[in-house]
Amino acid sequence: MAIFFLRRALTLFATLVATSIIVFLVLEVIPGDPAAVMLGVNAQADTLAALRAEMGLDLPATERYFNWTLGLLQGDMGNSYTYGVPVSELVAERVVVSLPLALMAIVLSTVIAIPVGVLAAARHNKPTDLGVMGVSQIAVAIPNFWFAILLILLFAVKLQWFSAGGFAGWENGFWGALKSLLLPAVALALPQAAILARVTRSSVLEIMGEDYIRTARAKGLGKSSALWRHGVRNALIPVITIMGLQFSFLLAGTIIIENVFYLPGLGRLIFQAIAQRDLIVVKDLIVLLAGTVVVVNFIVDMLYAVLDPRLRGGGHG
Amino acid sequence: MALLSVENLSVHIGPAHILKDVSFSMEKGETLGFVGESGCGKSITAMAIMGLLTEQATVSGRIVFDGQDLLTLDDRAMCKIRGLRIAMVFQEPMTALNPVKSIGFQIAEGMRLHLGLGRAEAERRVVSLLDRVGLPAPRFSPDLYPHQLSGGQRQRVVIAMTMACGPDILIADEPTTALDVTIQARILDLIAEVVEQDGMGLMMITHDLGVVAQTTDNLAVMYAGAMVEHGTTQAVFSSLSHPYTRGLFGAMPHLESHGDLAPGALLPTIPGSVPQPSEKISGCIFAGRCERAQDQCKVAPPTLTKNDGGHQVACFNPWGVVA
Amino acid sequence: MGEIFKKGLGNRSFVIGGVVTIIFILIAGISLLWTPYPFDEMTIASKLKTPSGDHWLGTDHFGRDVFSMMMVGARNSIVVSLVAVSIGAGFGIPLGALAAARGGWVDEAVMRFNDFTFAFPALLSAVMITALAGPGAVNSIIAIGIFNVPVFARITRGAALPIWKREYIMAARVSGKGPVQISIEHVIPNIASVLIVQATIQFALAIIAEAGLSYLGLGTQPPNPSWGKMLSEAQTFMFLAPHLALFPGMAIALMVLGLNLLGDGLRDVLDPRLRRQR
Repeated sequence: MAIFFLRRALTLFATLVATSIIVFLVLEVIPGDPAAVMLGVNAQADTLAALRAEMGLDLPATERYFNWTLGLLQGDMGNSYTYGVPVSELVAERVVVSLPLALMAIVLSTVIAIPVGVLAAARHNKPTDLGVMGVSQIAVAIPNFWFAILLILLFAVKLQWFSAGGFAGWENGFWGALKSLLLPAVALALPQAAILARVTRSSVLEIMGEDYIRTARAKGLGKSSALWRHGVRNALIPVITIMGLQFSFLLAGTIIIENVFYLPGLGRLIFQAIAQRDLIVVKDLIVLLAGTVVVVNFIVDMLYAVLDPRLRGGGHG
Repeated sequence: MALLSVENLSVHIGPAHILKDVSFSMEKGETLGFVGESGCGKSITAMAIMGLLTEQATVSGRIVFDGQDLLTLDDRAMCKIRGLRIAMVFQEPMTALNPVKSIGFQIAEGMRLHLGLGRAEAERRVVSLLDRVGLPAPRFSPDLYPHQLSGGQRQRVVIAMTMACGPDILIADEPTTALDVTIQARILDLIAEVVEQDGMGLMMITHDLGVVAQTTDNLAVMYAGAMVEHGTTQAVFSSLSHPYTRGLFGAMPHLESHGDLAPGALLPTIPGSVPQPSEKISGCIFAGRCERAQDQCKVAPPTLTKNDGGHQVACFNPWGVVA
Repeated sequence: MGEIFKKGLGNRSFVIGGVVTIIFILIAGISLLWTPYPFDEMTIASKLKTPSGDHWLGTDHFGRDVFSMMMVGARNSIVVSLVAVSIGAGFGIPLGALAAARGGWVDEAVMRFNDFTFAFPALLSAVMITALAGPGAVNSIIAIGIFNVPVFARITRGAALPIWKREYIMAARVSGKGPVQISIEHVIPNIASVLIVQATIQFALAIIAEAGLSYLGLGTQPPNPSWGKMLSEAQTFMFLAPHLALFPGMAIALMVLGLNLLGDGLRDVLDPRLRRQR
């Protein structure tokens, strides 16, 4: 078990390093002169020089890379060019919006999708099942930002229950802030929930046909008893894979959704930074986000080992 | 009164008539073998008794166990019979166990469910059960997982599971078919031992006549969903009354009956092939391939009748009768 | 080929999906020759009109005919997605085939490369690319294409690995054929059905990705219309002209739905064994 963990941890580390190198290469080395990119064609020579000095562009690339990564590990991400404040401050400000949003979306989609998937499998080929499949087929086809706009149209414009965008701010009251995250979370959750429901359903269906369920029934367990006691853990395994994969799509989703709802989160920050060509911010944020995805995948891998003893090593005796 | 009495059991799945009017009975502690080729309905009979047929199956007839017709029971009532009074071992040991639960858990589960045992008591019994099936401590602990065991060992665990609640009847559906030949004999010995020690009835389903010879006192031969011969194993083997039984026996490589065949000679086979379950055949189901078929065989199906040898044959013109 | 088509006609998903997809492709094709109005013609006087006989889907805030814009938008979406998926397949399939054929460190390397490009969903890589090169249709093609490479590589590798274990491959190797030849002659034709199905799925995903990028302003640039951009403009005028937000979104959803159904149908028709319901 320990070896398994170590190997995975090493892979994690290697992937993180590789990610940071690629981001660094793409955003600092390949453009040739990042400062020129940031300031644009009409930049004045002295502003250019000043920026170059500030970014330490006179140092060789490898040294810059190490300075950057070491800084990251210590929480120092440099200063944003456009905002003039440390990037870490910006991140701290924005993460309190994006993180709750992402969590809400995950919780919403899981809470809806998994029971629905199990239900559909239990009522295989009956109207409930076909209904679930049909709805999820449509839900998967709907782009989440359009769904968001539709939600706004209905709940904000027509019914006026919610505002059409903007974040109320945590300091202005917990529920107010939560309310402004609700519609965005629903929009994010929709396509994820649809995919998750389908995967849950097919996973449970497969389990239902397994021999060990038959054995459990032969022992005297009732139909749903057998499925719950023996099937759930096995069925969860592919479901968790998908949830892990979904995470990176979720991140991409927050970028768009935050823009639709004008939420001051990390996604919006990336977007604004690009518009303003603030490469420093972009670099840091991308590495941060990509790194998060890698870490999440690692956690998913670890979860497997917990769920499935076959992965913990030790062949047959 | 017989412990188990199956009367006119018929099973339809869609247009297919899978089991045709099967009747037999089992006494307490009786060992009964069911032989026939794949698809002849032997497994379906077992599943019907256990109440584990697919939902699309229509069943008619009676299955009387200890005075109760099992076919009238709902699933909850059947759950109290399964595992506790009638237990079953299936063919595939590699997939019969849940890979994510320990073998101890899976063996104890039935006991905790039916006998209401507490954790400690159940654990103790699990250890002694494992010992009885040839998986002694300390090498084999209840905390092991199925993937840590070989096929033969897993089948032993399954047998332990079936013994756990002391059932009256053990149904074994091809328990050794998926195992190595060397392991087969040991598992069969184990089953025979367990059945005898605990006074259980045994329904041994197999296509292998050798297995039947080793483990059963009585024998039923199935063909295309119908029972064609039924008697003591010895009687059936020595008389081979039904033409199908004789053909089956003849087709098995067997030193005694084939030892005098010239080298290069072919093993005898039964000409033709098994009819599809959805085919409607009037008359004897085997008539199309039977070398002893007569006109009456094509008109109406024969029923199991006692012949001189003391066992039952469903044939108008069986072997051993002076025609 | 003909019998696959016949079998397809019996499959509901295939038919519905196929019809929908063809309709969109036709609309896109027709847009090259004719649209009710020139898509960029601005008639401020008749701006923000609801659907009518004159303007079948209404007009936007510049008085442009929505229906015409949607037709051209269809063309742009399809082109971008098609090229992006082709790039992904063009690089991904050989990579995957190579990994399956060679095994060993080549396989490991390709898998690591895969794992780690998965950390960059389409949007994230588009973001990176546009940070450098600026927004535009070409760059969104590259971004979406890059994301498709590991998908195709992974699928190809997964499908090809069991093929390599089969006996006729052994026979081919024994007769002296090299791995490249074997891959082309034997492996790829056998996994073609998996790849085709995946391609339709990726096409659908690309349509959504392109729409998302355009919504953010990173994709197809004005004056070229794109469904995503139309949606973002519609959002600004949500209170005045809610109908504008409906049509582009419905188009995206319909096209994706059609493609997904087509993919499902293809899967059933080409190889029922593939039916792992997703």
